[in-house]
Amino acid sequence: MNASVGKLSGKARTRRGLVATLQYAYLSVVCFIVLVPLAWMVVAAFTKGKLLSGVPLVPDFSKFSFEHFEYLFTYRSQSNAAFPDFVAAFLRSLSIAVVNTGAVVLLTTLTGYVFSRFRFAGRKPLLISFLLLQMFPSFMGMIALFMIFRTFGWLNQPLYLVVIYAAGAIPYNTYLVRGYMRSIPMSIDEAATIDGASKTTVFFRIMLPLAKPIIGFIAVNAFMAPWMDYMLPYQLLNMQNQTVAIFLYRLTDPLMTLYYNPLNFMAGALVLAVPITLVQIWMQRFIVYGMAAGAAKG
Amino acid sequence: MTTSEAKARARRASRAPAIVAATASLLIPGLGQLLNRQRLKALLWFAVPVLLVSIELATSDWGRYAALRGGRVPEESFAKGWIAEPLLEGAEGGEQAASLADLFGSADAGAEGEDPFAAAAEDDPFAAAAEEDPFAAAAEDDPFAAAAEEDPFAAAAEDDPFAAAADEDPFAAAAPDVDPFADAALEGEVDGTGGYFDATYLWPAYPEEGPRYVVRDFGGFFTRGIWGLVTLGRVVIDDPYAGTTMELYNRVTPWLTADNSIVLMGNGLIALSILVIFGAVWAFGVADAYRSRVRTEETGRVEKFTEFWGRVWHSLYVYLVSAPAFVLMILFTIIPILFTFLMAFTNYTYRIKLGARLIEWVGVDTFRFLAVDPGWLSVFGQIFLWTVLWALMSSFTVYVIGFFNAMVVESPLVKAKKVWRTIMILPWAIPSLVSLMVFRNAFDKDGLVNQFLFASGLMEPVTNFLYKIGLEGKPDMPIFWFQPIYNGALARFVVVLTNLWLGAPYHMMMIIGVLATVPKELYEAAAIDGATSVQRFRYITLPMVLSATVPALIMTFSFNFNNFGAVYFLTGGGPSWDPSKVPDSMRIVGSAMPGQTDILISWIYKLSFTKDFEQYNTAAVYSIIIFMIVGGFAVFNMLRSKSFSEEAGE
Repeated sequence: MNASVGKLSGKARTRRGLVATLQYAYLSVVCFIVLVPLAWMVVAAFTKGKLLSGVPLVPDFSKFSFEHFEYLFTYRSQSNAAFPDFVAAFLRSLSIAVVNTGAVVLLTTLTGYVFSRFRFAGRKPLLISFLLLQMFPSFMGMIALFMIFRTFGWLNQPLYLVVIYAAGAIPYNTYLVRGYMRSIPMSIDEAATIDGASKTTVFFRIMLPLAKPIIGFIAVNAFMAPWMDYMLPYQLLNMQNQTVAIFLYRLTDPLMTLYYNPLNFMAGALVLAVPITLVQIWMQRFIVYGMAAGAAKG
Repeated sequence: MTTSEAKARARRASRAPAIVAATASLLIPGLGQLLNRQRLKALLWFAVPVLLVSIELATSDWGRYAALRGGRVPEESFAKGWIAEPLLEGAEGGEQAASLADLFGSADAGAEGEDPFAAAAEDDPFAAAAEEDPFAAAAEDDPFAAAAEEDPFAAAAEDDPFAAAADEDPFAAAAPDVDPFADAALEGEVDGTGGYFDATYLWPAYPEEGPRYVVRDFGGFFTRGIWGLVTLGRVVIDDPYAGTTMELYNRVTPWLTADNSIVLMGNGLIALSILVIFGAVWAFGVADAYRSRVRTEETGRVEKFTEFWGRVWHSLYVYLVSAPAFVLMILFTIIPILFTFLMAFTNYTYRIKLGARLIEWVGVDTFRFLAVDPGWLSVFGQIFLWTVLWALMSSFTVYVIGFFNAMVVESPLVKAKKVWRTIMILPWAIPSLVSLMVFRNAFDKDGLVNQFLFASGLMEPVTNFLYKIGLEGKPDMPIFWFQPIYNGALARFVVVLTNLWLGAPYHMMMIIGVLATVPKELYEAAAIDGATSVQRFRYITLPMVLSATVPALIMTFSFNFNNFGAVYFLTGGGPSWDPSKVPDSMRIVGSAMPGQTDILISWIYKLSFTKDFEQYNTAAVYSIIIFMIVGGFAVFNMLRSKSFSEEAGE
C-alpha cells in the first residue's frame, strides 16, 4: 500500500528502516513468548525423572530419556484403574473427533441450507433460539444428560458423546452456513430446479460443493472440539472408557499422588498436540476464511 | 353485484360448516376431515390419538387396574405379606413396558436385567464399588431385608472400599455422588443374583383410608410422567404403602419401586415434550379441517389426498430435512436446560439421597434466600464482579494485542510473513486444554517461570516488585503463583495473562482476515491526499476493522464470561477463599466454596459436583442468571447485526 508513494527522501528511508527494525524486534519478542512454553514442554517430555525442577532450562543431553514415552505406550490399565490406556484413550478421542466431524458437517449444512433457501413458519424465532442455546455450556445440564444417557443405555460408550457435541455445535454452525449460502446466488439453484433437479439434488450437487470453504471451517472446529472436552467424558464414561483429555488431566493432578508425574504429562501433551496442531496449520486457510465470515456475520 | 362481494358472501356462507369441521377435529382428530369427505386424511390424523393412547396403554398397567376394580384378582395375591403367585396375563404387559422403556426412557421401569443398561450398569465403576461393598454382599443373601433395613445409597457411598483412593482425587470422588442413579448398580446386582421376584406380581392392597396413588401405581408413560413431574414422587424406601413396604427397585411389580424424584422429573419432562409435539399436530389438524372446508365450500371441489400430500411435502421438506438436528437439540440441549431450570425451583442438595428422600418443589424459595442472605449475596457479588472484570479484561487484552500483532505482521515492511504468522498462531492451534495445563506446570513453584527467575537472578527484584505493587501478599522467594490465600490478586493477573497468550492469535487471524477485505483504493486515495500512516490507520483501518469485528468482540465477551477452562485447568479456582472471610451462612457449602480466581461458571461447577457438598438448586439459580446475561448479549448482538436486519426486511 505504500508502493504508490514515489521516491523517498533519505530521512524517510532511515525512518522506514527504524520502523522495520522495531517491527522485527517486536515480532521476535512475540515469537519468543509463544515458543518458550512450547519448547519447555518438549524439553520436559524428554527429561528423565518425575520432577519439574529437574527440567533444564537449556537442553541437557545427560538428562535425555524416552522413559515417559515408553511409559505412555506400554502402560496397561488394570480394572478399576485410575487411568485408561494412553493409546486406547487417544484412539477413542480420535474416533469421537472423526465421527463428530461427519455428523456436524452433515447436520449443519442441511439446516443451514434450509434456513438460507426456504421461508417457513418460525424461521426467525428459531434463529434467535439457536443463538441463545449456544450460549449455554452443555455441562450445566449434566444431570439431565446423565439421566438421558442412562435411559438409553449409552453410559460408558464413548461414541455416543458425539450426539451431545453435535447438538451443541448445530446452532452456531447453522448460522455460519446459512450466512455463506445466502451469498450463493439463488439463480443457480433455480436453474437447476428448472432442469428437473430435486431439492435434495440441489443440496448435494450444487450447494455443498460451492460451500466448501465454510464446510472446511466447521469441519476443523468439529474435529477439534472433542479433544479438549473434559466435563462430558468425565461424567458419562468410566475410567476404562476415558478419553485422552482425562488421561492427561489426571497425570498432572497433584492430588493423585500415585500417578502424579508432570513429565509424563508433558510427553502425553506432546503426542496429543503435534498431530492436532499440524491439522490446524494445514487447514489454516479455511480457518482464516471462516473466522472472517464469522466476524462479519456475527 | 361485483365479484368481490360475491366472494365475500361465499366466504361468510362457508364459515359455519368450516367451524363445525374444526370443532369436530378438536374433539377427535380426523373427525373434521371425515366431515369434509377426506377419508385418507382423516385416517392420518386419527392415527395421532391412536398412537398416543397405545403408547400410554402399552407402558401402563391400566389393564391390571381394571381387573382390580372389577374384583377379578384372587384375594391371596394382594400385598399382605409376601405370597408368590405365578403371573398370568400380566407377564406380557411387563414385557412391553420394558421394551418401551428403552425407547422412551421410563427409567424406573427400566428393566436392568438383560437389556443394554445391564451392560452399562455392570461396566460401571459404581457397580464395581457395589460388588465389593459389604452391604451389597448382604443384599445378595437377603436382598429384601437389605433393601428395607439399610439405606443402600449411604452404604454405597460410605463403605465404598475405594473411598480412600477417591479421597486423593476430589473430582473422582465427586463422580459416584453425582450419579443420582447409583442404585442402577445395586439393581443390577440384586437382579442378577437374588432372583427373589421371579415373575410374580404383587397387587396393591389399598387400605380404606390412607394414600392411594393410582396413577403412580398403574399409569403409563404419559400419565405417570406428568404425575411424577407434578408431585416429584410420594413414597420412598421403607415407607409402608398399600399393604407392604417400598423397595429400592422391583422389576416385576413397578409400583413397589420407591420414587426417585430426579428420574420422575426427567421422564415427566420427556413425556411433556412429546405431548407438546402431539398437541401441535392436533392443532394443525384443526386448522387444516377449517381451511380445507372453506376451500371446498368456495370451489365446490374436495381436495384429493395426493394433492394434499404434495402440498404438505412441499412445506414439510424444511422440517423433515432439519428434523434430525432438531431432535438432537431438543434431547441434548433443550431438555437438559429445562431440567436445570426446573432444579432451581426444588430443594435438591447433597442432603437428599435419592430414593431415600424426595425432592420437593419449593417455588422461588431458593431465589429468595440467595437474594436476601447477606453471606451468599456478598460472595456471589464478589464472584460476579470478578467474572465481569475478567470477561472485560480478557476480551480487551486479546483484542488489542491481536489487533497490534495483525498490523505488525501485515505491515508492508515485514518480510517472510507466512513464517511469522505460522509461529504466532501456534497457541491457537494447540489444544487449549494442553496449553493450559502446561502453563499450570510452568507456574508451579518448581516450574519454568520460577526456574527462569532464579537462573537469571531476577527472582528477588521480581518478587519484591510484585509485593510493592500489591499483587503479591508476601515477597516469597520461589513465588507461589496460585496457592496461598494472600496471592489472589497475583493469580488473577496470571490467569488474564495466560488467556492473552492463548487468545491473541485467534483475534490476530480474524483481524488479518478482515484487513484483507478493506478496499485498497481507500489507502491509495489517502496516500495521494498525503495522509500519514498514523492517519491512514486512524481514519481507514481502525473504523473498518472495528465495525466488522464488533459482533465478534461481543461474542468474545460472552465466551470469556463462561470460559470455564481458562480458570479451572489453570488454577482450579485457587487460591482458596480466605477462611476468615467466609460468611457463616456459607459454611454449609464446605469445599464447594469458590476460590479467588473462580468465575461464576467454575463456581457453578463446584457447586454441582463437589462430593458431599452438592448444591444443585443454587447452581441452577446461578445458571439461570448466567443464561440471562449471556443470552441477552447474544440476542442483542444478533438483532443489531446486518444479516439479521436484512432477514427481517426481506
